[in-house]
Amino acid sequence: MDVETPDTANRRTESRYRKDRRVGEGTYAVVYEATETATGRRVAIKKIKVRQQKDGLDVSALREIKALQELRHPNVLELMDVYAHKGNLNLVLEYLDSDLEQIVKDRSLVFTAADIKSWMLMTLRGVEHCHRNWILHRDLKPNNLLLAANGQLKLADFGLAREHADLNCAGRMTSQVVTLWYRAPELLFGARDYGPTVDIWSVGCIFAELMLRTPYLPGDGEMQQLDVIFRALGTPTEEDWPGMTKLPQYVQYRAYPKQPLRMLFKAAGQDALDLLAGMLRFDPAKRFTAREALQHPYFQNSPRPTPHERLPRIDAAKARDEEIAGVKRKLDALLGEDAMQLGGESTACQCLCSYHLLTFAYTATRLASLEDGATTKRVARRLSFSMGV
Amino acid sequence: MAASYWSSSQRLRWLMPANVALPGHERDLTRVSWADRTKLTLHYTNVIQSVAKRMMLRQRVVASAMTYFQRFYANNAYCETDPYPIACACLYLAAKVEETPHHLRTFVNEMRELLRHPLSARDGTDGKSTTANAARFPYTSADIAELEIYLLEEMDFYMILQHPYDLLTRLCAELQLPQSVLQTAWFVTNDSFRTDACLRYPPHVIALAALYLTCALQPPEAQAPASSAGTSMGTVTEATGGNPILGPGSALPNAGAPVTITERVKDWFAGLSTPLTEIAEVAQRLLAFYHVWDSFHETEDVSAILARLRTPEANAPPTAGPSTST
Repeated sequence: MDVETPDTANRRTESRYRKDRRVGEGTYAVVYEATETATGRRVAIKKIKVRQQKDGLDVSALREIKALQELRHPNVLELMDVYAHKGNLNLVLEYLDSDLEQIVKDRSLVFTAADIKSWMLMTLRGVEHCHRNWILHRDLKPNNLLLAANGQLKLADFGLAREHADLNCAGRMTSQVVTLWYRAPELLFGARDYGPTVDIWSVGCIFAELMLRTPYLPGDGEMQQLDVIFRALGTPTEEDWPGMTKLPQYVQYRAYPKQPLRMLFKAAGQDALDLLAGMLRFDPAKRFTAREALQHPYFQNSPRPTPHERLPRIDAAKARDEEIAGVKRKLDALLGEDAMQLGGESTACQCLCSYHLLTFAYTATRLASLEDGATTKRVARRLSFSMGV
Repeated sequence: MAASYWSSSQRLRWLMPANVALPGHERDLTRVSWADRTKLTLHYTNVIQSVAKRMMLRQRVVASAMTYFQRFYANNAYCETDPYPIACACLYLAAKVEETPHHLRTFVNEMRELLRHPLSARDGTDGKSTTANAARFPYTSADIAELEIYLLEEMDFYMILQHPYDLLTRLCAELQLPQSVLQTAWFVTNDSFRTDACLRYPPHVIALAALYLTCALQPPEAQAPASSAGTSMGTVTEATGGNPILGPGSALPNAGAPVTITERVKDWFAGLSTPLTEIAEVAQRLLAFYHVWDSFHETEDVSAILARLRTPEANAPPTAGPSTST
């Protein structure tokens, strides 16, 4: 009986959104592009697969809901609504179509120092908001910094986030967090007692990446990652970083000399390099906090950060063309393969054929949703050819 | 307590006014008295505590689980639901939220084990029917997983909580209070989660009230020589009698030191910017709760109260007469 009311409420919520197309699938969720029927606003719906989870709600999903529900900030992805439908949990999120990684990789875009400052400012504001609420993001990287159509940057993917307000949680956190290239050295040495500055290290790496247009510290494995870090920034001594040698997985590394950041970042201003150095300090206690970083002269000195509406952005039409081209290539390759397979007459071959037909059907639907009339017709013809065989 | 309490969902979404009745409680109170409902809450929170103890979960997890339980029953009534699986879902969810997850089936097994015996058989008066025993917790992992979603919905998906423990620890260190004071105040704080104080007052007020009660009722000076006499709450309520809110150490012997700990704590409380009335209200609630606890006999009371609660109102048994308030 207590179940009635939420159910009705959920049905009402469900009818408020129309799922338009499936845009991706993660480990614990499927993401749809959807429309809020009343306003026509585009939203993303993240459907968490609950029924398949034998052990209740997935921990990452729970972390994400718990963190996003607590945070409200222009630079943090907004969780607009949560509802259950047919045993699945649905998170209604803002729809954002690009991320900072795409921007960094798009060689046709030129960044000015003011653009970089603007992205850094928005990132740090979002991070500061998380830290003020005692939440560690623990997976900051360009791929998780989403960009709205108006250029606003928003922190997303809180699947690894946790709060650290509790004094008693010291020494209980796992060091297996953050994507390798953005992982702070104390985590690589297995620290279980760390703080918000692990996120600042990641922001430092992102800052460097924006200036270099390529990942700053790309290691191949956990051991090699520290080698890459020390090669770039010099191997720290116990004096630089008191307590380093006591960390659980401390190993001695080759002593690389310290090199001035200027060697690599030739065009950067001195204030930018100061800020970068502050965010990439080895000793977590001496590393900048989000607040200190925001108060750094870099953000007050000229040039002024670019207003977010005028930041470089991915050309939506071009991105779509590229996606279509990719799908086409895949389709052509599949068609070629199929033609060869069709020669045989074994059952295995037939299975393969039907599998391919399924793939076609799926790809064609996607293509249809992406592309206009002319090309769709062509695909339809090809498909009917395959079916005829 | 974290600095962000004032902008937290705990304050903005889940802080209830102190004197407005909660809909879930209201519906129960048409069938049983406040004291009886309190006893039931005590029983269900005992279940949470016992399962947590068996699984060696931290007190923080227990506090969160009890708060979730209180949140769920702010809008739902004991008479309309079976609280055992809810308690299980609360503990399971709290363990995950506090980053010490365990398998769901472990919780279910522990619950089943704990509730294996019928209530009345625990003291050996009624040892019949082991088949009926299983019926007290006939739920599977799948049921609890489904309940988890309902629980989340009831809480509007707000899960992050701040608890009084950190502040309490820091206060005791700042005031240089003996370990025994912290110990007792900690226990009082634990008990506060068995009342709805965690829905109605901010964590810092609860920490202060716990500290206040401890210092007022077991003054640090009196405790030190006795090398921390038992912290049984029964003795606390006895000792207070009429008005416990007179002020800390109002009738205490001076232990000889020029400025006693009690004096210092008294001054410190006087200088607080937290409204003393709120602290006093929490203290009153706790004392009222301890008073009920004193006369609580889990094995007999719970089944009797449940019998009254679950019977349709129309034909309530005569035993319900005296204790049913309207």
